[in-house]
Amino acid sequence: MIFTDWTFFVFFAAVSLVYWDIPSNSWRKIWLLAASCVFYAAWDWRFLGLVLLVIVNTYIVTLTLTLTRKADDRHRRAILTAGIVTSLGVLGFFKYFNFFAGTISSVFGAPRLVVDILLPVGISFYTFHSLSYMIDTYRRKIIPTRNVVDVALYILFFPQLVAGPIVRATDLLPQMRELRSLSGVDARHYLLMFLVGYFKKAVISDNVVRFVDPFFSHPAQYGGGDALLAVLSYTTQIYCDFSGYTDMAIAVAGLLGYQLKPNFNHPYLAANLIDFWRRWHISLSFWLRDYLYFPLGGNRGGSWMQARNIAITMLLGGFWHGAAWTFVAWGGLHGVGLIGCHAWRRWQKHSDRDVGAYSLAGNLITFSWVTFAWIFFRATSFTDARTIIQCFGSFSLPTLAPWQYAVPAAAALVALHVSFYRLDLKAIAAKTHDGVFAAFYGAAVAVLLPFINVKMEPFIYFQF
Amino acid sequence: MRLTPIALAILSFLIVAQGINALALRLGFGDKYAVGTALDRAISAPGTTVLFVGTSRVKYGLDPILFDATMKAKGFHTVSYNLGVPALSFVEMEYLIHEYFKQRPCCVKYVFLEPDIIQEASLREPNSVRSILFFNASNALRNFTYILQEKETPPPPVSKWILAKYVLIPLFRHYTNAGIFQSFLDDTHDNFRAQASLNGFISLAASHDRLSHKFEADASLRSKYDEMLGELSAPYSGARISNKQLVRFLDLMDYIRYNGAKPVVLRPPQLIYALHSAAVVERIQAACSDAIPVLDFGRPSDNEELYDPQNRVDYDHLAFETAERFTQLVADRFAALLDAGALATQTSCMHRAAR
Repeated sequence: MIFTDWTFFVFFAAVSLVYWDIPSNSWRKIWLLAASCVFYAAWDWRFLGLVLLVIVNTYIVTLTLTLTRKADDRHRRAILTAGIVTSLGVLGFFKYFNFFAGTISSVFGAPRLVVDILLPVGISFYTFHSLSYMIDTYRRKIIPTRNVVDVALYILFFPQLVAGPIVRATDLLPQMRELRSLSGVDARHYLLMFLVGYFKKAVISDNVVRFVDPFFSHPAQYGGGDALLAVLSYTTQIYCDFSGYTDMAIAVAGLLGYQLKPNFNHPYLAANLIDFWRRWHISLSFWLRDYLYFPLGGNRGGSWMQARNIAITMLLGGFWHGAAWTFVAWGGLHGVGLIGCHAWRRWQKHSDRDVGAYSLAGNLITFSWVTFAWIFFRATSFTDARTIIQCFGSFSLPTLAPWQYAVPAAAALVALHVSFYRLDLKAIAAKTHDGVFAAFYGAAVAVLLPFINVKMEPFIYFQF
Repeated sequence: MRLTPIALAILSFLIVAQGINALALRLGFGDKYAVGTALDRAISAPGTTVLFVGTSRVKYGLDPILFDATMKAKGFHTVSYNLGVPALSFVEMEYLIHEYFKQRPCCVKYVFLEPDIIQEASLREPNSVRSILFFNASNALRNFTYILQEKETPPPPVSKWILAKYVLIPLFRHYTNAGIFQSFLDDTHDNFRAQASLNGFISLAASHDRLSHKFEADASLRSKYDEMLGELSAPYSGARISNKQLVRFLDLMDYIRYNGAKPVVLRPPQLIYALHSAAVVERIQAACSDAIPVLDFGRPSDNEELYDPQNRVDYDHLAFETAERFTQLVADRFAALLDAGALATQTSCMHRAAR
């Protein structure tokens, strides 16, 4: 069940109708929890047990950390370590077992051990939810709840369960304590946000895939024109896919009375890579900053230590995305870019200047670097990535789509992206009369639907 | 919950969706709707008195100009039109005939119907323009009821739920236009622009590779072909179709009669789904051979030249000159029926056949 599928609309309509009719907050949460289980089970019910294990682990560890608030730090650290090892152990086994087995066998020439493991959808996301909650409890940033339903719902809450945004317990748990009221929901804003997300995913992302998949499957068969078209299409696809999903997730949560923080802010308009990571997958970059980069030392200890910490963070960030060296290389490229950015800022004595101050040259360089890095993210092997890069060396017009269509389409997308940057959906929704909004919404859906790809490609980030 | 904004949203959606649909059709979207295009062309053909309705076996197998010339030589004046549509399903056939008589209530005297009542290949592609444009509420309902009435479905075997999905998806898209531009762009075997034709007939190229050549390349095809011929030589079994399916076919013939024309069952030399067509013929002949004329070219032993691999391009379609020969044979047998006055006193045999 994905947000763009009709089954989700039926599911969500049923869930929200019942939800807003339940007078008690406790029962509402139980209802949402049940709905989240159904949502997750729609992929594979067998993995519900795995999520349950992570929930129980998180609950026990946070509760034990509360009970030992006054105990010595070593004791508490041991409890936290046990919790982290359990949650990461689940992730490590299901996501990385074959990767490590394969790497060890190729390094030592040992026979390869391959275990047929299905990757549970959303495992990277709910593991991070669990980790941040346990670490925040350990750091005494949050007083953990004793209500197991709250913990379960925090990890399983269906709008953000399978592909984020990575929500902090400090943001979500307080919202669960009070009864949400329907009149307090900015329905027009969230409906509009859902439509924008749906447009990004179903119209743009799912349609540009026709230029992406054939090229990345057999890159050696194509020339420079197709390479450029396919790589730019993938740059568009991954942004529209992921930010579209996030828009819909935030909107769905919002329509249930819960507010999730934004995860994207027009990243391709970033002036530099530091700015980019404040606009792209914001919840992940802040998670990595707070739970990995800062504990490693962050900016402290001079420029070399900062570079080391950035490199480790970005390499692990790349590894988090997928169990393949190409993802590590992608993270590494971003790490190199970020280190270069910091060095440039120090050299130019711009460190006091606003990181986000726009510059066209900076924007173009950043976009090119990010686009180049996507090659490694999307390629299935280094050999493919090298072949793709070699394609750029040969000049040829695109064959995947005639340039007469591709160029205006690309220009239209850029114009759309910039104009969306200038639009304030919330303000527009607030200003519009109910009737006008409804008529506009109906018409907008009618205009949008003919352009969707009915094959409904799965969201890219579901595989992470 | 306030219902006014919801009603307004639905209303504006429907108005804009209809506008987009009209615009898409104006831009040529409808050209890929094989059933609609064939119907429009048939309706605009002047003075038609004989209509051939069926699948690609009819479309590529019956030349109306030659048919009329042969009939003329035998002293009968006919103006025939080939309303064959590749992979025409039974519900599409019902639709074509109903729409034809609604829009052209006069003139047609004879309607040749191919009894292939389990063909539904084209409607198993819910993303094709053909499915989307065909499945309005009325046709969807017709198809749903037909699915429930079917005794056997054509291969590959699928559940009735999947068949229902093949209807529901295009029905939804019919009214919402969801994804129509993708269907507009994609060319698949079920989604292509209507070919130019003369009186509805499309002649397969004379240079088309013959089935006998294909046998030379792959001997297993030959044995499969012989096996199919063997099956067709055995006595027909009417058990492959349900009573309700037969009633629906007879009902269609009654409708033709009600509109002043006379139906004739024409079974072309077919191999795919041939046993089901044979079942229809067997049931009709057993119950009401006097009431409904049947031109049966489905027995290989009686029509050897039509089944000769040198005269066919594949298991189911005749080569160019064989189609001409088939047309003449149909005209000969039809003229003989007219001479014998066999079509003068047609009556419904619904109550007898469906017993």
